[in-house]
Amino acid sequence: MVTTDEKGPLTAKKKSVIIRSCDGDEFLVSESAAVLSTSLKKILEEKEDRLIHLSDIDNKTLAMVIAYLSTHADDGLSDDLKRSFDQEFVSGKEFDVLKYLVLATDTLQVTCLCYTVAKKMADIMKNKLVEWVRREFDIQNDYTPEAEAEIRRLDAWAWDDRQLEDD
Amino acid sequence: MMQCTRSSSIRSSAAIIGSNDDLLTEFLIFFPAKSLIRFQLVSKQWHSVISSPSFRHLHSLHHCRRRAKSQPSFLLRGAVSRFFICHPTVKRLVPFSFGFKKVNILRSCHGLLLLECRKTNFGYKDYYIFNPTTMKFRNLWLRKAFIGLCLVFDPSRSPHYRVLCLVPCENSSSRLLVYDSETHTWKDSVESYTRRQKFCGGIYWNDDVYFYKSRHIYVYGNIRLLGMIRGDREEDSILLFHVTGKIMIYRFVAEVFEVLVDFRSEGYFREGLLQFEFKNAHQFIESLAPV
Repeated sequence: MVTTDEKGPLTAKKKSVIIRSCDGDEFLVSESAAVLSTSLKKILEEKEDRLIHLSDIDNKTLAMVIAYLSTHADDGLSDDLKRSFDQEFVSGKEFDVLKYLVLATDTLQVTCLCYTVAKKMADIMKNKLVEWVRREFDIQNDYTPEAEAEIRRLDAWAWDDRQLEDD
Repeated sequence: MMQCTRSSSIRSSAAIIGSNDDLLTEFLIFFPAKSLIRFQLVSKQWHSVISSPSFRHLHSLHHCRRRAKSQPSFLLRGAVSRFFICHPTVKRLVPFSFGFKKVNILRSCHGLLLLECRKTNFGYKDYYIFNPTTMKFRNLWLRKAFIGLCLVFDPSRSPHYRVLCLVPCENSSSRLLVYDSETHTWKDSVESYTRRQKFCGGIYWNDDVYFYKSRHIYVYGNIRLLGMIRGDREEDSILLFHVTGKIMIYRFVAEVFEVLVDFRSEGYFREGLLQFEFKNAHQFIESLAPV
């Protein structure tokens, strides 16, 4: 019993980290999963602290990223299963959720997930109107109407498309 | 404790993606060329990322590695220099204009075309590298008589293209001139060739350039061969044929003919005529590759 007591917390301390989201919730993550994020890996190498506070990632997004990391750290799963998990992971997610995810994966430097999410976003966006993109990304149109008309004229063929979507 | 409400950070998250050059580059790389041409209009910053040569090289490289599975599109030449793009998925022919008067496509290579253009029937021939996606072109200023001309462009090996030109010398030999898009200049290569003969064209294949000579008339009764399109893998190669009112495709692997486009109900259809010129089908690849 004594050994278990001693060993239990010791193993947990060695193998796990606690990650705190910006809303204050804490997640217990295995170290093997955490190090799949290049940023977390660097933090863990630099300091002893097992508590990492992420000030710009919210609960919901962090939970999703951790689910991804844990799945990919699981040696028991085949590459095929991991690939289908990736497909499932992004399918049906709202565009807003994907925006949070791509930003979180960029901050945490989880390259593979960042790619998967960015690709999914591109898939949703590729047939959208320019106005839709500006709205979604909160971008001000900084062209004059003349400059905008000139650009449209130069690449007229790309605009000759009746399938563009605005929703 | 840090505060973080979803509604305020959703605006900032969007703004960060939309305004951080590095993240924007990583993100935009996944879009097809056509979407990016339109998205240049989102803002001046998007325009500057999308139109930068470094991004265009990256984009060409990314997409040339992933293109293998998709079905190729073609550029076909009809009578009086009228061109059409044929997308196998939409099964229609879409008119296409180069903006030059007399155009002949000599070669198509990973999204770039080598064009021979004249202002009049007997005028000077100008040679251009043309990107039909971005509509950007560059005059090669080739005014020498040559016996062979070939475009070499493979984004997976180099972001720059080369044009090889075989010109005749006095002592009945020939020498090779090379145009390199890194410097945009013609250079004499040291190699010289003893045999001197006129070639119809050149093909770049597995690191070698083959200049070929034969010129057969590919017309058999009312079937006309429009061209052979070489796939990335040998078994992906196809032949395009033309019969009245239809463009047919022959796949080597399946050994079957299929109707690619049936244009008998279109305005430009002429009963009983072969309307597309033989050996004038070239692969059309949407690409942002700089010229």
